Amino acid sequence: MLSDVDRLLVRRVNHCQLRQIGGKPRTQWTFRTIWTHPTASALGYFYQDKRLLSILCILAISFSLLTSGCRNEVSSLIKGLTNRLDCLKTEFKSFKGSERLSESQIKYRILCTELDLAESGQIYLILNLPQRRLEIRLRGANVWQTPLNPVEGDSQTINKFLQRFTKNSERWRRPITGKYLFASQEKMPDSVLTIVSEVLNVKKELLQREVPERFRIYWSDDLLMDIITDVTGQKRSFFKNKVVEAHSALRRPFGAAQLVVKLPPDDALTLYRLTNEGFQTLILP
Amino acid sequence: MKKWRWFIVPVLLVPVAAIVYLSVLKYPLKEISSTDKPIVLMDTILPNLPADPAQAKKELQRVQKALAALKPKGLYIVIDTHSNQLYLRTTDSILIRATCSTGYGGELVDSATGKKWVFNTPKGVFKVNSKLVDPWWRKPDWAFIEEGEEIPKDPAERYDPNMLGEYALGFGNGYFIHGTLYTRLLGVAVSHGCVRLGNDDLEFIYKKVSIGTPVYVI
Repeated sequence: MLSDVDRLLVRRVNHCQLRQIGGKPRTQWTFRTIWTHPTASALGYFYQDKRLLSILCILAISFSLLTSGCRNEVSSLIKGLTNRLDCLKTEFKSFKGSERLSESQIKYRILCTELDLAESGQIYLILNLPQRRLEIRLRGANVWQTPLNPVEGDSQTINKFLQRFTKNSERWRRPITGKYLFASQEKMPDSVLTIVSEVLNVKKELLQREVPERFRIYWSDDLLMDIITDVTGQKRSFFKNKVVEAHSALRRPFGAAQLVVKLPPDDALTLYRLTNEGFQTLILP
Repeated sequence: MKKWRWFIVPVLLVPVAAIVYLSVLKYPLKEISSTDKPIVLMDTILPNLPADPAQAKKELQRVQKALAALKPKGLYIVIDTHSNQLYLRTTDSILIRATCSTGYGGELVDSATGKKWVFNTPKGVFKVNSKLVDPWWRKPDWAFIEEGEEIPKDPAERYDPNMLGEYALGFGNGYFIHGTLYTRLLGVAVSHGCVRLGNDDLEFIYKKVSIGTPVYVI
């Protein structure tokens, strides 16, 4: 009985003989080199062709080059996680025997944070979770508000967002780090704006407002909020939109927290225009 | 063709993989989050309440009072320059939401003198400092320059009795909440910095507010 390797060998020998008859000495060389060991013979079945070998080499090098950045990210992530674990161990030791942050302590910290924001004279966003409201305040006064109704997820999603935002009651405010507009609709028809801009001698771009169909606000630590409206707009860029969606999908397994809320178009317009990089956000638990 | 078929896959695969990698993992972070700019986090060290319960209570009350002192008592006006809406409201309720026109943000330069005007509605916190009935508009220099007219030497030629509607509420630096002849343009940012309102809304607001009412412009 022939073993599998022997069968392979026989098949290979026959093949090589045939090819030799055809007059291809290069195959002869491969044949001689590979058949010196049974394992090599098995490998030889796959590496029988130099072209296939070179393809595999190209793929291996490409993969290595492409994943070099990923490896750095993964290694930095592991390093970060290790550091975080050490911090948690230290915190656990320090908290062992003492109580968790009391309610009054949390309340005091939130008040201090808001007082600081109010005194700055800048507008800031409030994620008012108990009252389910998005608010904008200026010097402590409510100047804009809209219901915060998450479209996707439940109270668990909100809790996850809250935990990640506050880092377990360590931080109650964060600056917005970026935003991305997926699709929007122009508020005024172009024909009307052309007439108005000609009469007033004003550039029509200055008069136009984009009502967002969907946009996304980013905070650090993979926190993001998608705002959607009933408006049907024009996509900014199909490819970019897909890339941004893919990016957040890739981040989700690493603990990214996302809220999806629906707003009236006018409110979405105001929020979109206000939320620039550095815009401070305070969360109320 | 048969000889090269094995190269087609990697030749196509490598650029696709490169694009996906660069765009998915690198591009969005750079383009959208712009994490290159350092953002100073002032709240990383949060204050703690004093350990003594009596002192802690006192401290908590102090902060609450300080925050409450900043908030307006009673009515206040909010002007949303982004969606061109004006609200008359209290902390808990909105009395009226009116469509308005705010500054369009354009610039005008006087070629003769080089003087420049920017037509923005100023943002921040202001107070109503004047209430006028049947206001007359004293046309500033830019109004003539914009029209391509010569700036009159006689001040009487500057006055226009019809432009500002029936009421005007001043909130500082020559900026007013006033009426308009161009009611069809309400909702569009077309003004030179003042806030234009429809007549009915303006009358309601005029009657409700008093001198000193806070005006928040966002």
